[in-house]
Amino acid sequence: MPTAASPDAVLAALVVLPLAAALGTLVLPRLAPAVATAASWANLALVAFAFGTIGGETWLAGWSAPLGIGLRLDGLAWVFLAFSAPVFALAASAGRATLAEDGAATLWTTLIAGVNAIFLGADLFNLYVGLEVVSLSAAALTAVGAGAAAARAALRYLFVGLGGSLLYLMAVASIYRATGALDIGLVASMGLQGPALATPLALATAGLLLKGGVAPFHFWLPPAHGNAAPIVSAALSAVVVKTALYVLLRLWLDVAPQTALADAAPIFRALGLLAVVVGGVAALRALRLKALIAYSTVAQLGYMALALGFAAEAPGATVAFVAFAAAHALAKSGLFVAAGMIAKANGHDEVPRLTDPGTAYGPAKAALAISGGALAGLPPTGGFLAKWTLAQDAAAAGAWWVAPALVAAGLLTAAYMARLATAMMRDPPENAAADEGGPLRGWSALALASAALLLGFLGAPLAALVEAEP
Amino acid sequence: MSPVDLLYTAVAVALFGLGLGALALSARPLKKLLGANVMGTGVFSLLIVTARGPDGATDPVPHALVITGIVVTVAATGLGLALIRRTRSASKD
Amino acid sequence: MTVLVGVGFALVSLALFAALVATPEAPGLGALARSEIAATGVSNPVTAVLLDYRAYDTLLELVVVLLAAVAAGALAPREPAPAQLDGPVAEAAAGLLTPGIVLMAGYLLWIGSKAPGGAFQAASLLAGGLILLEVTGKTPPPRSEAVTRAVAGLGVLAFLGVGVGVAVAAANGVFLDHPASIAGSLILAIESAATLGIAAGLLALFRAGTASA
Repeated sequence: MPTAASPDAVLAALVVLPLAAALGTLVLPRLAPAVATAASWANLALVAFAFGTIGGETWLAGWSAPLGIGLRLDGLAWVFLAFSAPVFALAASAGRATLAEDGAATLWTTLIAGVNAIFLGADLFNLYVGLEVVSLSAAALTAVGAGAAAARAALRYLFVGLGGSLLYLMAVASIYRATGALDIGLVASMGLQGPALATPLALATAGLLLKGGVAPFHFWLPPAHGNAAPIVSAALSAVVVKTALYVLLRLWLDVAPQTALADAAPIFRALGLLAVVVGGVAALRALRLKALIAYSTVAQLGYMALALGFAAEAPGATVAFVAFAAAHALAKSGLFVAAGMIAKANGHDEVPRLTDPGTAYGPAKAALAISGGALAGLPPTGGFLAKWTLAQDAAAAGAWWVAPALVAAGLLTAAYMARLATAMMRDPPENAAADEGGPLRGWSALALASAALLLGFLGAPLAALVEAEP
Repeated sequence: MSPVDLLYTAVAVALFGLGLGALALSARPLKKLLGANVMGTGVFSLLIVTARGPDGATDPVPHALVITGIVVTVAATGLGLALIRRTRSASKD
Repeated sequence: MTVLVGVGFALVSLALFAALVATPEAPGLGALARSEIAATGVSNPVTAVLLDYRAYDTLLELVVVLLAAVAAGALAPREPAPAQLDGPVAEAAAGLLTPGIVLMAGYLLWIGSKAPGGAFQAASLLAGGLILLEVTGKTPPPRSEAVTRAVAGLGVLAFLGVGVGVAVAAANGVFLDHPASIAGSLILAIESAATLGIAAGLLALFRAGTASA
């Protein structure tokens, strides 16, 4: 029997556990929401435990590359696991009603399994299957228990997901044809160059940017994230889009040589700027609360693209990429949960008409404020850490325009978050609704937002984890 | 590359491109779904061409990858059809 | 605009084709897959890849089938579909064909370790038979949605059970690392469960996707 702490056991468990829970939801349908919630918290505990296994790897089925598939847990992978797990756990606790919808609990657990499989994955084809598990689970969850608009958005999301996956798969097929290998480490050692490298990279990047909702491929994101149930929107914005960008990062950092990333850098920087502007302006003009938050996601993904654009010249930019991903995940999920509560209390989610939901919503309002600050990049939040890291590295690389651009973007974010805040201060009408969701939802939202704040103090350990040699 | 392999590769890429076009540009959801299937067929065809090894021996790995891909695509298509039905019935309400 | 994008896709396809033609093909994994096959307990190389070397891929793929079946059932509008093939010919055909289909599916599953065949082929055939019954009005088991979903999960259950079992039983166990002595039997067990699971999943997808009147 392997020791409980061996990488073989821990890494496999990160995928096996949520899958076992998925089966549990089928066998115990009446307890399905409880099973899914328990599995989400167990996943969080396992990820925390996995911190001791960083640097480990396991060859599934006992076959190493090139025949077999490996799972690898380096610092980068662990950080992505570490910010995703609390989102799943806290959102599940906040969304029992959503999880009680037919099929939702099963899809929630398969989503967790797919997400973990992607972060741990070291095989290019296996990442395709993982991306499909995530895409299909996410698209279905978007429509579960929701109306016509969500169903249309979910269908569009499914098409985007399929297109992106197949573009990525064509890239993988090209790579296998040229190298006879699918393991990331093995492919990297084969030294692809020229069209044999550029074509798969271009195809995969197009597919992954599409799945990740990076402008100009973001058209599907606001309807999908804006119409889904709050906890689903939280998972979608916080984690699902990050899986595609994670695979993108792995391709450009681990598979492609550094010169390739340097050549492509201007493209990523341009796309990042585009996303920040398009998303920010749209959020400012948004009339509905969840649409505002969804456009904010579009803008924040732009920061990640921008960071990737500097990753060739400065290793710190990778840390910024990860920090943006983590801070956004925690802040945005808290924001979606809080916004869901506030919209429900108001009976509608039109921003100009929103009013103060009352004193019972203290945690939710606090979550809104803290998340807003993190998204705008105010110190000492994680958002500020990410922007500061990127600005420093960009300046060191000679790109003087990045720091002012980040500040301007932060002001734009602050502007649309301020719209929300002023709405919160308006007195409610006489017949204001009481909080029907119980205190758990508000505290979950606050916990997530607080984690985004806490991240701001963890810059040094974060950098150590991400930059460590595998 | 042998002329036969060249032809198969060209067909695979053509299917991929046509499917991508249908998926992206069609207005009707059913057509988009079929486009995705054609696109998938293109990728799988390319993988099968890759399976022809030297001296006629075949490489089983691409075959397995294609089987996996086909099953995933069928499942996704099934989900897509259910979602299309859902959008139609939801808009009737 | 549409034309522009279409032309763009055509150019991308041409560029892809040119890149593929210009790149020499690598020898691939055929030789290695065959040389190591003794430890897998099967002699069909594709089965060895699917159920041993890259078994983890197959596990995730079965998860996709399961989640799609569950999601489709949850999302599809609940309108019962009338039987679509009426008449004595269809019903007689269904009655005559079904036993043969079940036998052939069983044979495909069994022969998959030695010759082309295996769980997916058997499941597709079996699902075809189940759908034929469904469409002629003789609803086949599994009938209730809950049971169909549970059966659809059998493949995943088998993989998890065997995978964890061999890891726990061995000294430095790895998930899904079959000991060579019983690998063939384990693979057959997994494939049998997977056949039922995939067939149930496909049936669930069909039921969810059937257009109503």
